[in-house]
Amino acid sequence: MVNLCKGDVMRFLDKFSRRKYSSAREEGRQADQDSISTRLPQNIEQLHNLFPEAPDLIIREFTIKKTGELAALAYFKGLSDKNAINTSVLRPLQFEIGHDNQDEGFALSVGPIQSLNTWSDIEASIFSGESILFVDGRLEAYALDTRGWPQRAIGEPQTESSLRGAHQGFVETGAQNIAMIRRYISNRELKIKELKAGRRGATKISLLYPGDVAHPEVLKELEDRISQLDVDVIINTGELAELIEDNPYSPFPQFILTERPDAAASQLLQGRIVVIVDRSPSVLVAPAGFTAFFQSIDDYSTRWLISSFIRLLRFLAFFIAILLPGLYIALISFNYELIPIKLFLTIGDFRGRVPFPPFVEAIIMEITLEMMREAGVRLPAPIGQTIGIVGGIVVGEAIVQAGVINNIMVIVVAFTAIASFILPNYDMVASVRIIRFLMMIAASMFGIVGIVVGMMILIGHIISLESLGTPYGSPIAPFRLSDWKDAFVRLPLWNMKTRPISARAIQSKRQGSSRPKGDGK
Amino acid sequence: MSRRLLVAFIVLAVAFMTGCYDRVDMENVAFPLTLGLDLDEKEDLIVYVIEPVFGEKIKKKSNEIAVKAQSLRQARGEFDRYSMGVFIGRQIQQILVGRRVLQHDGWFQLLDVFYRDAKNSLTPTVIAVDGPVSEFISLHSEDKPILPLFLNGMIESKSSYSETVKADLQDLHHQMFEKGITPVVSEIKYKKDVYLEGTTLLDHKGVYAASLNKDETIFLNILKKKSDIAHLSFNIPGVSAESPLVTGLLSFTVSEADTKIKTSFRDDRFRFEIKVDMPITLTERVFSYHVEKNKKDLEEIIAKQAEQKMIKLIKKIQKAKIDPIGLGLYARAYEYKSYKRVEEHWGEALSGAEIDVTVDVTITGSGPVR
Repeated sequence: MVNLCKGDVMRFLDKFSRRKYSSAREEGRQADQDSISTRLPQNIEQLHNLFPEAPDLIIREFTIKKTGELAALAYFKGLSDKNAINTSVLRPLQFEIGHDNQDEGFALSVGPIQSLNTWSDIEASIFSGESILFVDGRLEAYALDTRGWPQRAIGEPQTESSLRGAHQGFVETGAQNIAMIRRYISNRELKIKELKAGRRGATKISLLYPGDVAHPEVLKELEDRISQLDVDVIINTGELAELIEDNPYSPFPQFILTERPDAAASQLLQGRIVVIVDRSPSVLVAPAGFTAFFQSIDDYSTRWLISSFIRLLRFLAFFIAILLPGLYIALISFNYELIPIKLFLTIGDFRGRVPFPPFVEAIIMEITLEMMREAGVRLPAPIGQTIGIVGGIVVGEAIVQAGVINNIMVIVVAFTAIASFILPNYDMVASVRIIRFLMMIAASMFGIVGIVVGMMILIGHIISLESLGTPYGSPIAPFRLSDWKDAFVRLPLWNMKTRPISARAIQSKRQGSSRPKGDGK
Repeated sequence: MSRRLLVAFIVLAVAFMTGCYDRVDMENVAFPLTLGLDLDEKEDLIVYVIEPVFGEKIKKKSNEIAVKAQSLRQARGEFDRYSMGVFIGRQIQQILVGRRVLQHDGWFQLLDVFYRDAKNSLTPTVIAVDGPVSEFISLHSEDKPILPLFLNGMIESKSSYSETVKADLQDLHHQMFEKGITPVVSEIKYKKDVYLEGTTLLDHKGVYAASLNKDETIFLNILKKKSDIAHLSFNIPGVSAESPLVTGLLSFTVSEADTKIKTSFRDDRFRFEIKVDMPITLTERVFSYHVEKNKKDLEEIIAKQAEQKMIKLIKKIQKAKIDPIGLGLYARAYEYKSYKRVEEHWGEALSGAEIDVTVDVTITGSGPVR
């Protein structure tokens, strides 16, 4: 079933891309005859001209029973819902007389009917899955909402699983994603702004924001950046994020991409803006701060002491993941005096057998780790397990026995890997991987001094970063004490009376101060 | 465009930077763990080192080298010629100084390289050796870890029970240059094996002045307010010896003794009134005694003995004209003018000072048995 859908999509994309070029060729000729004609055969011919090599374009000609007019219905197979067309469009038009005598109205049981009179509008709506009804003698065509493209069932978010959170993830249909968020925030203050981006395949981009909370300046900034885009098409949210980022040269992600409706809703309530890109299962949350990448939706449904502990653990893991291999190199190559004497003697014993300098040793292991991880991500699940075996047994055991890498290095790599798996956000994990290598290089050249300088540069960089014009380093720098309630620890929910300052909410009260305490108090 | 060029230039410069000039990987380094200083019969300086040997197939875990040299830096040059890697003294755990060296003025100056070369760490412990250092260097016990580790553990654990002191180079430097105090370092001895004697007291110039045994060291640490916990055993007089196994020995633990020092200057001499509060818990009593009934008496007996021992210690110190307790710091704080006059020969001034010690013992626990 899934395969079938995939095939359809592929075929559709194939046709679609071929069509793009032919339409470009005809662009000049088209301009003067953009409006449709009153004569049906001419329109049908024009349709054939517009989509010359599109066998999935269906044009069905028939007579409308009610008025006796000749008509044609055009739609793309696969993009439109066949059942809806058969039962709600073709059947009533061909066989039902209808009760009213209104000239215009068709007795169609479909939702919105839109009249169009230019070919460019028709093109856009036919590609979005609507079917177009041409009637002989009328200078307008009707776009009927019969959209029904291949869809995936709503399932568990793959990249962000959670223990307590909802088990629904976003899907590839923007409208459904909006609906999922609306289920969490059923309030008319949830405003949606629709934008289009992309020349060849206009991608529908919806900006969701709490109207009374989101800062208009931030919203305007985001809107401006999206509307200034000049690209062919936006396939995925990640592309949009990269195109509108404040600093694309930074290793750090500046927007949160999430697959979780509950996470997106929670961010909305903090005053942030959610961007839904049609056809992409992840949504973009802006503006984002550094600490936001260490929060997980589970933090709020676990008891606060435990989630605070886990959060601190994540920050610790961040530093371990960045620094540990670098620290190993620095200690072995420069600053021996910092190793406790007993560990020192042990390392000395192991190091004596290894033919490579520490930096090469560390690079070999870290690259192996990165390759194993990448291999694990791309491999289908049943084969993916072999990676664990290969990694665990072959690389872990054999490499030490062969005397290529020493035991301590294997421990260091394992620690780093575990530490980076703890981080809840994939983009942040990816940044950590890059920074780790930079730290290793700095350590191999300058030892501890290199690491210290590296950290200073890193911190300076984080402080200077902005996400949508709001400071990335908040609440650490600029220092905002009230936001610390949900940064390194998560204080009890009844303490989070205000929305975070870093989201620049214009209405900051989140909840009252009362908490039922039992005993009738 | 120019910005891009600049970035490219920086990247290249960093990549080919020769910033690694002081990088020596661990396997290319010889690490002395113990450094020994001694004089031979002809009064020539001998420098010893113990370095660990890495490798699976090598049975002996450490390697010892002895060279004649005039300074430590020169000695290092000599060591280099004996070893596989470069000698780097950053993991030195302890410096053993022989008694013969300590008896000479100016030996402290030999350690200059540790203070002047900032790459060296100041963490090595200084240990005085009663006897020749070579006895320890050539020691190979089958049933012990290598000497550096052994000494490390020994000094670390015993100093936490106040039985010796752990004086690293930093402490020693402070004690040498602070005029109101004289240095104290731990002392070991060869008694069929490594034996912790207690402490060695040095004078202002660093020359050997006296040695203290374990108990004396405990009292010194109590007077210095450096004792958190200590174990002592006293002989209680008046216990009828009906069997050779029954003696008057009473063991107890002193925890957090509180020392108060009052300083004054009268009749041209310093006066120190030292009051020690010693809460103790009994740990062993091998004679019969009704502690609950005679608690006050027992407290008094112990206090009296402790007092006598401390007075004896102070007499010893005064006789040697040194000040390991650091009473000079109190004199400077409370009687600055008078102190300033005698600062340069404080040890002598202290030897003429009047020092009273009173000890107050409280038994806080006598164990769950009667």
